Amino acid sequence: MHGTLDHRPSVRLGAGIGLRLPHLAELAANDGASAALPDGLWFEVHAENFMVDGGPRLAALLAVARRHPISLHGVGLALAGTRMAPAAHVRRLRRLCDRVGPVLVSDHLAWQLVDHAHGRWHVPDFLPFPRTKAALALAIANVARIQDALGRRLLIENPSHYADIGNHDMPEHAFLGALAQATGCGLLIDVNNIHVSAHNLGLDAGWLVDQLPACAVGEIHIAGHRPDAESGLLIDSHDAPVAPDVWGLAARLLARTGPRPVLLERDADLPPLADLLLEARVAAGLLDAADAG
Amino acid sequence: MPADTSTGPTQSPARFEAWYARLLLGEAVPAALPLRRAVAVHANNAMVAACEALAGNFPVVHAMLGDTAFAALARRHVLAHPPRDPRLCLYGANFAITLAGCADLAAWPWLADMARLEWRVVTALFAADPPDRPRRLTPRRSWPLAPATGWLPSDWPIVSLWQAHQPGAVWPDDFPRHGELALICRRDSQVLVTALPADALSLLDALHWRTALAALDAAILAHLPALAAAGALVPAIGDG
Repeated sequence: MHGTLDHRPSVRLGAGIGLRLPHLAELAANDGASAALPDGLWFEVHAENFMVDGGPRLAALLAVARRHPISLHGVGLALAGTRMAPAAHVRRLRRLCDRVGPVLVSDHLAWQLVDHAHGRWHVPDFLPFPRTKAALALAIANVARIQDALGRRLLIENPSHYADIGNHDMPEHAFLGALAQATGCGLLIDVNNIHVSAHNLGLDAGWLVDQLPACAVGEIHIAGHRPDAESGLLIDSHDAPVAPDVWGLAARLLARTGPRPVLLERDADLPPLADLLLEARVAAGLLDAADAG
Repeated sequence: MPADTSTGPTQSPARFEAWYARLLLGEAVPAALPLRRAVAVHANNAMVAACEALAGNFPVVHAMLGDTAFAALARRHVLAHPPRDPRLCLYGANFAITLAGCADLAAWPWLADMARLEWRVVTALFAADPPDRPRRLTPRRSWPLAPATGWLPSDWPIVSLWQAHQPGAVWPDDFPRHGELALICRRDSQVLVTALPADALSLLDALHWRTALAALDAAILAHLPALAAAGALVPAIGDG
């Protein structure tokens, strides 16, 4: 697949919310709750939580999917790794896509499989790598393989960085642009990741946003972070409201891309769904401004 | 442990991964402080995610041990049996082995069985749904177990202990002095854990091996209605 895939979802998406399990149970338990949800609200879930044979959790997701657009956000494909997730994992993702009918499917630009004394370790985090030409060729092959297996376009998320590991052949925006150009994949730009990385690496976050290939951006993530007092690093923790600087980066990116689906991620210290809806309204306001612009 | 003063292999992704994996596993320590901090963040993220998955999948073991002891055992388990599958909702199949091998837990000999029971609860939660169409039963056929059904014979009152640790449960005055056979099944979207008479194990084994109903003793078949009522069997209709 080379740049021929339509990167726009079949429905126009505005502001969405990362749907975590407590809120899924709340929604599934109360069909009427949807009446209080804004029109066009969409949800994103971590695909791996639902890549199971059956049961109430999957049934709850399918029920929500009948009322709201759903995005499947994977955390396990290891798209920048020399070893990707097993074929069985890819088949499960395909099956989940068939059942849910997601409007977007995404995963991360990272490697995750480590040899361990007791076997393989699928690291539940997103490990960094030098952005070499060899790494780009590897990522292109991996993304193309997954898109072929799924029969649909992937969005690839930019990672958070905690140190400059060096030995890069190209900056991240060039790597992402080349990956999108070669595979037809879209980019999921997490502006919180950019903020965190810029702080940790001593870079200018606004400049980083300005370098991104705007036409390839298919989704934007916003999230909270926290400082680590001991190291001085910012941690991409998703356990706090979105910081003002991150809202600013989102607005800056939207001014370049035009309206794109914006997703509020919150994974820890989860507030009530109503609080997240209020925060998502800020994102909706940014989208309105981008639309008017 | 010697400090690793290299900045990592330059061109080969495979060599870089091998180098970084050593740092992540603690087999080498980066000399450069920024890299050391970054590796620590990734290692911590990975450990926390796996430990939180264990806490979510083994809530009763967690409650029995308390936060501190559970965290230590979870960490030990992650180091010995790290996640192999990105689906952390299905992580912990071998947690009972870690508990059974921990000499410090000798005073709580039922803990390993509790972990086995909770693992069956996890697998029941995510098992395939039973077929919509009822199966027609005849004496010459077996009655299939529902995909979510599991069981665990234990030398300990494992069902009573599990039930006592459920939200809102009333703590019993005493626990049975004998072992219990736990039946784990899913009915109306809920995973249920109930105690069966010990001789129901023969029926469960027979159904597992798809033994024809006509080949089973009447005494064993007497447990069939209890299994059906619990949702342990696929929906079926008889032919009279």
